[in-house]
Amino acid sequence: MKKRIHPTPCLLLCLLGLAFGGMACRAAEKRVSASLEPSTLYLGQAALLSLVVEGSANASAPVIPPVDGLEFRSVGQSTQLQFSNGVMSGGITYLYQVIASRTGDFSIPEIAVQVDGTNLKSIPIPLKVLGSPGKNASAPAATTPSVNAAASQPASQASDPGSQVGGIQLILPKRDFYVGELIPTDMKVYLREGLEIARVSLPVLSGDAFTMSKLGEHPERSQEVVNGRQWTVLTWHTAVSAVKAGEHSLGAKMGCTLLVVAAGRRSASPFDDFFNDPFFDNFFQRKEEKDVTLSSREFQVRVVPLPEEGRPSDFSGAIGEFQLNPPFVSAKEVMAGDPVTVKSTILGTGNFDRAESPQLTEKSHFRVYPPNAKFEPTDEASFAGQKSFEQILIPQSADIQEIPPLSFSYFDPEQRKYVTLSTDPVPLHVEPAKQDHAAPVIPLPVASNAAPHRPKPSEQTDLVGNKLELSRSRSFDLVVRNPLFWTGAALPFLMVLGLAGKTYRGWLLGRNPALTRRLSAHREIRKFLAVMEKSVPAENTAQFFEAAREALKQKLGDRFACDPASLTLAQIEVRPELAPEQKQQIRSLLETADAVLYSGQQFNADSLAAWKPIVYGILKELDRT
Amino acid sequence: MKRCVRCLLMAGFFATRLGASQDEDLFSRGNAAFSSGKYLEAVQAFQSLTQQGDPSPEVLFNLGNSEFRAGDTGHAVLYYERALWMVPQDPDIRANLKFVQRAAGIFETEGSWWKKLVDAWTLNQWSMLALAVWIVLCSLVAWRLVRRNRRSRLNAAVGCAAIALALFVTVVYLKSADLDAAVVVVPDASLKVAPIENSPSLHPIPAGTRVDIKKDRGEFVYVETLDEKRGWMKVGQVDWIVPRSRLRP
Repeated sequence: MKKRIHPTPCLLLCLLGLAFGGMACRAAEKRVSASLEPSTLYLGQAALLSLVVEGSANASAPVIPPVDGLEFRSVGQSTQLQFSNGVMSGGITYLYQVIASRTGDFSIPEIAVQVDGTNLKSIPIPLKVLGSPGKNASAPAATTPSVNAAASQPASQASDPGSQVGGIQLILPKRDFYVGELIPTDMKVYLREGLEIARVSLPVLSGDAFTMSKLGEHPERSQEVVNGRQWTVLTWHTAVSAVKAGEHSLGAKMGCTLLVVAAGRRSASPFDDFFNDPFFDNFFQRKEEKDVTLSSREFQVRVVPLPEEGRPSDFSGAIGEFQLNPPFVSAKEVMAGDPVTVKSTILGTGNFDRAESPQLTEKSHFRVYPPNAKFEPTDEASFAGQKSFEQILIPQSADIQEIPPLSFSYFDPEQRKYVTLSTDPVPLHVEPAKQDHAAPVIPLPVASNAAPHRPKPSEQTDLVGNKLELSRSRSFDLVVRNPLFWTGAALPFLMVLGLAGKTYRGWLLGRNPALTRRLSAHREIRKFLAVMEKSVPAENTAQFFEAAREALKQKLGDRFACDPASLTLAQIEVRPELAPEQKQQIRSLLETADAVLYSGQQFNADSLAAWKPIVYGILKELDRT
Repeated sequence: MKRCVRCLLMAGFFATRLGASQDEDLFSRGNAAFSSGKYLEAVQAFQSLTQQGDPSPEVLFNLGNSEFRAGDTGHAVLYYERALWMVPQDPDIRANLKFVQRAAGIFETEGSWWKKLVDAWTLNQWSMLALAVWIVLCSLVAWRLVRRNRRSRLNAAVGCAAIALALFVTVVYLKSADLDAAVVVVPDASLKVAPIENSPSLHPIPAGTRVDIKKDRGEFVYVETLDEKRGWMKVGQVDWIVPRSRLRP
């Protein structure tokens, strides 16, 4: 296949070549340096190793000597070229993720790189790996994000089709969770600047062991430069929770639809080389949609179950750090049997969805109803906020002196232990119930359908009795599913539609007298021709010719836009629109009709039948001319 | 021929009467069992009536009473709700529904005036009213097209009918949301995070709680309670107020 040479890129290359050739190029000092961030980490975390080659962009891939207990994973590389005061300097940065498989003090040895034929080496770097996984769960929140940022660097995933478009970065404060613990997480989606994006879906987690709080429709939007490239960054502040214990990989992905220039744009032609230039693509491009999936790199997360030891009986699954406010009681003095509303509030951070209402430590003298809960988050991820509970208690005895303390238990992941919070008891004065309040529940009487006295729901102490009479059965079927319903709705609509059509037709004819006259003439002609047809078998000569004359007059009246009744043979004779043959035929017909009218001339059926095509012929001829 | 037709009519009449008397007999037996405290027997008698075809609201009402006395609050609320679907104006059904809900600790907030208005009639009654107004509107428009004088009065009448139709169609639309209403029929039910068996529970939902079904995924349904709690429940834990079998085309 013949290789095409594009003129515009060739021209640019020549200009660049001349510029490079003509310039007194002086290379900067060549140097290789390595840096590690952080230099101390916990087992299970990763560090970012940056190997920077300065002074030249022409370097071979570095060879990292193997280190027992450390694994090096290439994350990507970036190349920089710059001119300053006539001096060209270049550089390459190689990025590696360093993962330790055991604890201890390590030394990352010298890393050799061949730069412009010269062998250069970096200096060794120490690395300390701490061992306690328990401590890892409470590791400083600032360390891990940078590791994750390296792990999911969007610009470096060249093998992934989505990576040319963007990537996803998950930022979690730690990698050891408890089951059910809510971890505030930042989800950053990188989209390459300048891309035309038709639509994007919301990101989802790729692991089945995690759930994520609902993402908002409007994420934060910002711009970032990564590896020298501009990216649009969408950030969601959300929270991730693990649903099962064990080692699980966690990642995120999202669908994205791009608008790309369609392939096979033009057929081969002598001007292809010229018009296939990208310059013209921008003007004549035909775009099509292409679906790509953006994803983050997956990393391992250790999910541990909550300890059984020391678990309080009222623990409902709340994990985090909470406070319990003193309860608010709707009334301090009530009668036995009257409801009292107790409002309690929990505030703090954690998985509020698992925080149940604080429990009464002693409730034997109360009838307790399930509470209503209301959560008011103070952050986007619903991680922090306050949850209020309204619970109805009905004191059963006048001996009650107080509402007992409320208690709420949760698990504190920082302290790694269960915590139980309690409130002080609230004084409550309960008076003995009145006679009607304390009415015993009597056996249900069978009442008639028409109950004479029906108590209000608040007064009702028992069920209203059974009904004794059976009425007709009712159906759950919907009338809107019955075809008769829609028939009933359609008929009046059709009626209105018909009338509207008729009214519109009348209005239309009123605005067009010529059309009105034509339609009227056609109607009259049809009527007279029918009379004429009937006259033939009846041998009614007078009626036949009278009908023929009238039909002819109607046609001529329509044709000359005049009153048919006033038309005479003399007027017809002078019309210039008619040919002499036509005038002859019309004259013959009208004179015969006059003869029949005034002399009583009679024709038999055959003769009348012979006249029929003549009449039709005249009318047809008038239509044609 | 006439004799045959007469015989057939007589046979049909007696068959209908026989069926009706059987229903009444079963209904009386259910009431007798209820009076003597045999609530499970009463439940069986009333349930057999509901299974024979379209039930009457009285059967559903008595079945609700029997279920409550037998200790099944969830089904009691379900049958009261079904009876109310048929006769929303019946104060006895409303009273017992409130009573059972209060006993179960379910305190539903008082509905707004328009909600009360919508609930005053059944969906079928609102639909028929909307149809009647539609026919009146069409007739007025037709008259308006035919009639050449006094058009201003007709215009006013057409406008009023159109507004009434819009109102009733809106009410039908609002009321049709009840087709997705269901009742939690089992005790110890809870809302789950995901539609899987071992998914963590979010909130306990007492039996008799009215919920709206938002999604139906075969074995699981996504529900929302009146206080806006949302989550997944197993299909057997809830039952639709309007049975699903009656809604399928």
